[in-house]
Amino acid sequence: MILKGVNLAVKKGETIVVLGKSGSGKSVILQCIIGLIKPDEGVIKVFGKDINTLGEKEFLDFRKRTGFLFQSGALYDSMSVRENLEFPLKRHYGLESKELNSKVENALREVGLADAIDKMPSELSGGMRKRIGLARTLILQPEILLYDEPTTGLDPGTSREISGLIRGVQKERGMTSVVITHDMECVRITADRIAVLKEGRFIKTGNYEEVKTDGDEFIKSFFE
Amino acid sequence: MDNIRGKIIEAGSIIRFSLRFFREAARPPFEIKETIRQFYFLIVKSLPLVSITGLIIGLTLALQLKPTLGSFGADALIPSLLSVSILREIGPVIISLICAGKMGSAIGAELGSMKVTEQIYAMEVSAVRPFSYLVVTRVVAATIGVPLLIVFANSLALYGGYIAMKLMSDTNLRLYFTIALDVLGFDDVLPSFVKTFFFGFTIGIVGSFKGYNCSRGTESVGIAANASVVLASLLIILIDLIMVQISTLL
Repeated sequence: MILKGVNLAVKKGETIVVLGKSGSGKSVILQCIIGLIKPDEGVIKVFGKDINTLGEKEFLDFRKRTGFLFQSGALYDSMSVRENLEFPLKRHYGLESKELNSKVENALREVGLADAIDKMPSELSGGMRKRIGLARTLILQPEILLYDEPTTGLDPGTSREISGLIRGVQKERGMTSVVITHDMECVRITADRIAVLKEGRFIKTGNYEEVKTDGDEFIKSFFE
Repeated sequence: MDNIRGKIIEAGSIIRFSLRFFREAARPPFEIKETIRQFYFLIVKSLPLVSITGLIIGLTLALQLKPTLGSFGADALIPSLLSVSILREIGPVIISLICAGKMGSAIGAELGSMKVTEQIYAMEVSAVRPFSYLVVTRVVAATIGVPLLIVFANSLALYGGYIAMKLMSDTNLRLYFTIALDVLGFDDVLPSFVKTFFFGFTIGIVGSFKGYNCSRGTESVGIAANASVVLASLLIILIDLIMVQISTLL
């Protein structure tokens, strides 16, 4: 069992960062929230409803309202950037091509990659893939955004840019966000509140300063 | 013992996967554009390979038959023997095995790499039904396309037979095809055509199953592609055996 009695409430509009060592079950928390993994026991309530008791239609509606940014960006290799962004839009809303185009262009402008519209994922760098992945997630106007290690594998400069982008999007749209990371620069830039995960339990929650000044050796190790 | 148990569980999973295909195929949205795209990639792009194979099957069969039948003075039987053997058995099975190699591995590897790189999860979390988009489209394309490829390859195989006959003796094209097609009956053509739909379905569903259920890690993509070919080939031969028995009984 990876998670043991995890209990966490996220307020509307806040960005909470789940901090923990590799293999501690951080990503499992996100996958449980989005319904990719069913917990053995316990309840996960999103928008006030237990997601594991939702009917198919309600569940799809819940997923439309919840965005997920994968560690690798998870862009569809066989599609161009434009097609990647159009893909969920076409399937959920019967938009005309003019409207579709303007939504795609706006989403790409928001992540600063308007020029990449006709590129294939194989032509993009790691940072660009994450930005496009974020644009594809944002295009459905989610109310909640889940980020799985958004800065892993990026150089410090690009990591800072991605963290700034996450903060910017959060401020502009007032979305509720859950960020999984062990990158402290990302934590400092994005977090309203931090929850520290150790051996399947949250051992501390608080804002950046409260967590930083905690005396626990495990927590201190993140800030050294 | 564990190995046998694992195989039985896998067989059950493939049956469940196939039933899910029929459920999802009957539900909108119908991904017609993607099905056409898959038809192009899986079927149209297999045309050169299938054409060459078909032509060579006919050529070599005729070249092999000529000395044997010629020694009995039964050269005239070659076109009929070719058409019956190609249409009933050799064409459907060999072309299906070739398709299992080309399409099965392509489907297994593509879906497997999509699974490993979280692209299938990305579709799921954006509330798109990946099964419908990825599996139904490929299986439909293979089920419709493989029979067409086999009909095409069989025609070329018969023509290959004619080329061989022409090289060895002065055979007339019209006479060759008259003899070749005259011997064919309804019970030669229909059962062998019906089984090609099963072959196509098998190639699509096995490739999709192996790729869609690929575990994490790049190594598993190779395993999925390889297992797709092996299992689809084995099932094609088994289905062929069953269908021959059924058509004999009927």
